[in-house]
Amino acid sequence: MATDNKYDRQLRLWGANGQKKLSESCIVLVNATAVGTETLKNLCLPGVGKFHIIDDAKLSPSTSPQDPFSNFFVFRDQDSNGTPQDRAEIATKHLSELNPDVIGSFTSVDSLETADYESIFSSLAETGQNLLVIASDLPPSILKKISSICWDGIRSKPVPLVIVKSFGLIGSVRIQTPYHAIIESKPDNEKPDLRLAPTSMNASVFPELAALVEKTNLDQMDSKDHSHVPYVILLLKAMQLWRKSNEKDDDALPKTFAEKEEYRKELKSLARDMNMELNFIEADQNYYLAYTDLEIPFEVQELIDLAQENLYQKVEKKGDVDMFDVLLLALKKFMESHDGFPPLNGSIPDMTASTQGYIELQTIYKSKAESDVQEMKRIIAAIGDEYDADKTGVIPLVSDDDLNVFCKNIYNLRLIKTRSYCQEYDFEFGDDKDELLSDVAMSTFDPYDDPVHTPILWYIALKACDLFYDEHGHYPGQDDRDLALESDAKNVQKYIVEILSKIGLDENELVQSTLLSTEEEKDMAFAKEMTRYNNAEIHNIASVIGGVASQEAVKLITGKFIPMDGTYIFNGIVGVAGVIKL
Amino acid sequence: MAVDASSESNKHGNTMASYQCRGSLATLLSRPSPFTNETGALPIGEFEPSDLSSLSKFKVLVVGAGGLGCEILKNLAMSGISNVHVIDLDSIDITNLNRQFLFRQKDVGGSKAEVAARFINERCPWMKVTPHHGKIQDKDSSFYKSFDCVISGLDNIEARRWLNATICSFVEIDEDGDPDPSTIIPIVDGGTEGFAGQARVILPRITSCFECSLDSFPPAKSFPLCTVAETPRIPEDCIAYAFMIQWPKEFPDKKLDTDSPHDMQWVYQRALERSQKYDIEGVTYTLTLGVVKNIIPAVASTNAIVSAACVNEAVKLLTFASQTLNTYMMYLGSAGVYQHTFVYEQKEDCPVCTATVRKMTVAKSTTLNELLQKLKDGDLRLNSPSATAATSGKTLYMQKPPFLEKATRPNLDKPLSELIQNGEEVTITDPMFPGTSVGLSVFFD
Repeated sequence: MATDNKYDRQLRLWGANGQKKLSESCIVLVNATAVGTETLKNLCLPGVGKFHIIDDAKLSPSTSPQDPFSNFFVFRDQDSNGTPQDRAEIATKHLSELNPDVIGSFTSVDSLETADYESIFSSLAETGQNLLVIASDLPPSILKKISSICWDGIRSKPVPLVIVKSFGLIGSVRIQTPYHAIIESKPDNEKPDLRLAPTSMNASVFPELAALVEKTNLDQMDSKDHSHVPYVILLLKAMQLWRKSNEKDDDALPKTFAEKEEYRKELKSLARDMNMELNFIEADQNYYLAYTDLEIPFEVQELIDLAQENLYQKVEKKGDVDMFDVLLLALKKFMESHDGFPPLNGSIPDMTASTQGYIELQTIYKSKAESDVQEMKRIIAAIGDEYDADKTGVIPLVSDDDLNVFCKNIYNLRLIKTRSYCQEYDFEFGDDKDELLSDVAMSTFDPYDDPVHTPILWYIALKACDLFYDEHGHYPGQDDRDLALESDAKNVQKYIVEILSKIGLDENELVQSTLLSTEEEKDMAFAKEMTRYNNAEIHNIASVIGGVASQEAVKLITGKFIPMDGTYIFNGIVGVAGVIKL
Repeated sequence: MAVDASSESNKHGNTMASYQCRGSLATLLSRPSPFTNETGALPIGEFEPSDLSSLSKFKVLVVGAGGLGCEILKNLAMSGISNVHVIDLDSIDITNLNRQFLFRQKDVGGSKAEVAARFINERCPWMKVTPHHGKIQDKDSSFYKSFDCVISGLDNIEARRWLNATICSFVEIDEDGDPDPSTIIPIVDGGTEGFAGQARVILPRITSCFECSLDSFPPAKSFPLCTVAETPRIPEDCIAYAFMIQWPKEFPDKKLDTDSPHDMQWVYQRALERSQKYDIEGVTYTLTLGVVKNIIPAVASTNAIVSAACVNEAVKLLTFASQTLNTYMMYLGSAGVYQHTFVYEQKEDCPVCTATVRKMTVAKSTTLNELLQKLKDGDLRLNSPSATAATSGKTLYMQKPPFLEKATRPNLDKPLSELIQNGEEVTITDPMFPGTSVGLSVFFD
């Protein structure tokens, strides 16, 4: 082995600071069914700090080793002398074996219906760990309690909640977080922040780059140097040439297709051999960078627009001001005093160049980024003076590391505010009603190949089973007899119809031909299938869901990557899934 | 409405809350359904309600006992499929422990297949997992033919191509040109990279096969040697110089052991020196390992998703209890969750799962060696091709055995026009495609 760090393969995804966040977290699992223990497994392995299981189930003395069958971490120990064992204890023991860095504990309660979650969560939070709750296979009545506690927060700090469910061949994951700020969303293809167009229009935007372009004299270079001028410089040179030969103003950019083609021609005319000079080939591949500017994504613009009001309100209400709020306001002020440009990212992609030429260019970008960071630092200090003149600490400190990371990720900032489970369950909408319902309707216009497997339909069928539980105190399909199964299916169908009318899908074409179809083969097919399951715990479904849920939990804990917003629904009949935002 | 803590007695007399009373795999297998195998897009059998004992007749092969393999073995155990074989040539490394949960610190250095099988057999007494510590290529076709389903969790393209071609070659085609269903062994294949992964079902000769999708797995990125040697710019260039140029120069008789901290420290130090010489920032030991070993990030969660999706398909394919994934599921988890399931179409001239004869036009002067090189570099991506003239049966070139190689070697430098007729079909074989050959009609322009 070339490294002794067992976390090497994941550190390459979320880095040392992501790992630190993980180690400072405490995962609370309510109900240690298979989907719950599978989720926890995938969090113990990468090294969360602690976990705590709350459960009310017991294994009876006569349980044979393979009786539970679907839960890898719950089985009777052979030396238990026939006494009933708490599932919480057994699961804690076997999950703890996965990773010696993780500390597991449990609370066995009489009933998950009556457990005092608030006091358990509060005492866990006292250790200073960041809580994240996983609610596994719970009926709505219990979920509502847990959801409210997490939403309102423990010691005024909201607790992210991950709700998981495995139900026969169907499974779901829902995230609940009132406020989740993301700085490092780590997009797969990050576009470079080169500032070519603005610099070519106005040298004062980036004088050092403009000077480097001026200094570069293509005509006097030998062929080796000529073929090693970085394409960034070539693009700017070509812009000057295009303006000159087409008698354009000093700040003109090619706009029409014809102009862009002219520009490209000028660029190619600078080459001595367009087939051999790699730097010119790269320039031609990236020619659009010369006149298109990296745009602030609308999600980021929205955050910037609201920054001032947001911070002001929080300070007024003596609320919990987040570092993210301060950084956003600083960004807004920075952009106002820099013609709308944010701090420069400072890194450049690899490109054909001599070592010296590349380092020179890299240094120019880097120094500019560093000076922008310094400017941000001054702005942040001024914000502190303005909003917290008495130094009460209402404005949190921003460390240099945090500021550097922020400035490198201006285009990647995101804020997630999900709806609560209670809002979802009760179909409670606010101003967002029309938008949400039209999104749901939209999802029916793009059905899966076999329309019957479109995710929204199975979301509705699963939800109908929760309504069934609420009314009957058990899930459909508990009684094996044909008549009972038929009667349960009819009831499930009734709830399906009820839900459809609540979300305005009763007249929907896809729904009519699937959920509501009365054709012989399709009649009540969803209700019958859900009833067939009797809420069956199928390990593979539990494990898919445990995988998805733990991936989301890692994103919520580390603050990196973007968690989903809505309910993930997995249809294990054909392996189709979707995220429903409701 | 709120539910009172309604509880009922289970068969052992313990009270259990009603949300804890639920069905299991047995329920799924025993009840009829509107969504059984024969109702889906890939029907291969008719569902008959049965009980768990029906699962004991199946024999399943798990290829790979790593990140996916550990999960797959657990999932099979939790699905009651007891007769399982697992094959892997790797031994356990410390960096496996963040996801390969059947291994512990004390197991480092041990055989993955053996340790994984032992763990499952101990934890789940109904399981009989048979480990094979070795290369998949060392098993003969009778070994592979004995399984009802093959689940692969491999981390490299070459092994997957070989396995796919082997299983596909078992399919017998009847007089009407239809595949004989009893000779079809389903392959369920999974793969992951960071937060992304995919699972797919391959029904040889019915759906697309792994080879059909080879184009979506581009060959590993190589370093432009010229940049590395003359104009290094980024830390990767310095690392590439250290291990590709400096190591062989310094140790001409010793292969770099990428698992040895001693060797890797040497590479790191040389890379660091070079980067300092050129003012390049960012050479670290972690990056050095990543570049030299071409490390792909791997996490427990993605392995869980992909493995469970695979075994879910295997269980359905064996029991017919539900429909089948048609045919490819892609999971992307880094920006929200995006999952896309679609039919991966069969490639019209797939060298493995179609009998299409390919056409190739070359200059008359092209030598046999040049033709074989084209087959290596082209879209077929062959490893070590041998060639026979199809009509005459004349051997043109054979890689093995040595005496035949020696006898046919002189043909390599001959122009093709001396060896075959214009338009003649050449049969190409390659160890990558065991049991299969590729027909190639060669035309001269």
